[in-house]
Amino acid sequence: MNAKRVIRLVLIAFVALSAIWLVGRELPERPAPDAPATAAADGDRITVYYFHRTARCVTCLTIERLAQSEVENAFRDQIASGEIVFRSVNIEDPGNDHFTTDYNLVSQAVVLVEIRVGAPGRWKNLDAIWDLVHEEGEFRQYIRSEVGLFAGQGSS
Amino acid sequence: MIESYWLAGASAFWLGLLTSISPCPLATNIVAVTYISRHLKSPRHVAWAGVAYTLGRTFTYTALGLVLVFSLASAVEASELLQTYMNRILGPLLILAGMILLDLLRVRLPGRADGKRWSARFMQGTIWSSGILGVLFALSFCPVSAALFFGSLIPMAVSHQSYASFPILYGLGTGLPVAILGVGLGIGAGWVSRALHGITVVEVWSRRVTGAVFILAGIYLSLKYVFALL
Repeated sequence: MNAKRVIRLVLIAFVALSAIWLVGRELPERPAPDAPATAAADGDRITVYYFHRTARCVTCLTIERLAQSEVENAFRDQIASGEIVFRSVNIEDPGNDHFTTDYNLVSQAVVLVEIRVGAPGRWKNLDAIWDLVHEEGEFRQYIRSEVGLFAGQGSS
Repeated sequence: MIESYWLAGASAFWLGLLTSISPCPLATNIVAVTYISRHLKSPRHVAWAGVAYTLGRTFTYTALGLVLVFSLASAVEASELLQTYMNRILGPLLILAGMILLDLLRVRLPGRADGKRWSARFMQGTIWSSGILGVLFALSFCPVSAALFFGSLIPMAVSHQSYASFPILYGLGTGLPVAILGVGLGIGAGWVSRALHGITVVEVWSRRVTGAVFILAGIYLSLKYVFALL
């Protein structure tokens, strides 16, 4: 068997495996387990969501890193008391697809959501993140001011 | 009002450029540059391939923009659908295309006596195939292009009622840098090989490199989007 034939077989096998894998992924998934009961009993809070897909890109990872570090640094006290929570969520994980329609997600996004009595209330998609991601200072300032403003509106 | 329109038009083009130079579509951009730059014998052919690639991208974005504006299709659903499925299909598709380029696979279309003809045309790299590559690559949205197209460009086109012109400008912005680089490389390599009187040898290697780039990019995209290993 010559090298050309071996390469051809390996590549065809890889393509076939990809096709089988893709079909397998499309089969009905098991329903996600119910959210723990404690989640509903949690107090009112602001959740800063970072929504992403399984495949990550360099820009997306930068957005997540900057947003998370800015929220954790600027709102250290509120994070410690549970008033503000940062959560990264993979919308391709079982049970998470509703987030796409809940918050009109067209791509990876930072979304602020007010949780009252365990249920999500008003929300805001910080859609300027893509314009500012290459200016770290402006990006951090944007996250800080939007989260502060959003949290302030809830408490007034 | 007119200034605001031109400013928004310039922004649409800028969003396209931003999409093109971001690392997110790097794998497909490398494939496109390599494919466009293959026509070493004719600089005019290289240039037309670059134009066709850019027009292919522009066609996709314009059609998509018009469908979103004039139908009940939602940007959220379209974005979800294209990001989920196109990227997953693209990897295996590029591997098969690379195999055809390297003559590892021969496609025999039904009803054609000359089964090699289709493969040969693809290997030669017609202008049409560069356009089709543009259409296909524009459909494979990555997070950056999805955010800029569905999240920024479409709302801007709707608010200015420029349903076709803004997607056209965006498409030109995404295609031009890649096309210019491909054309530059192709013409440069053509000059060098002519100067060295080795155009046939260089062209053979150019085809091999292009095929290898298709296969490597296909494997990368499959590992990333099909198997979620990267």
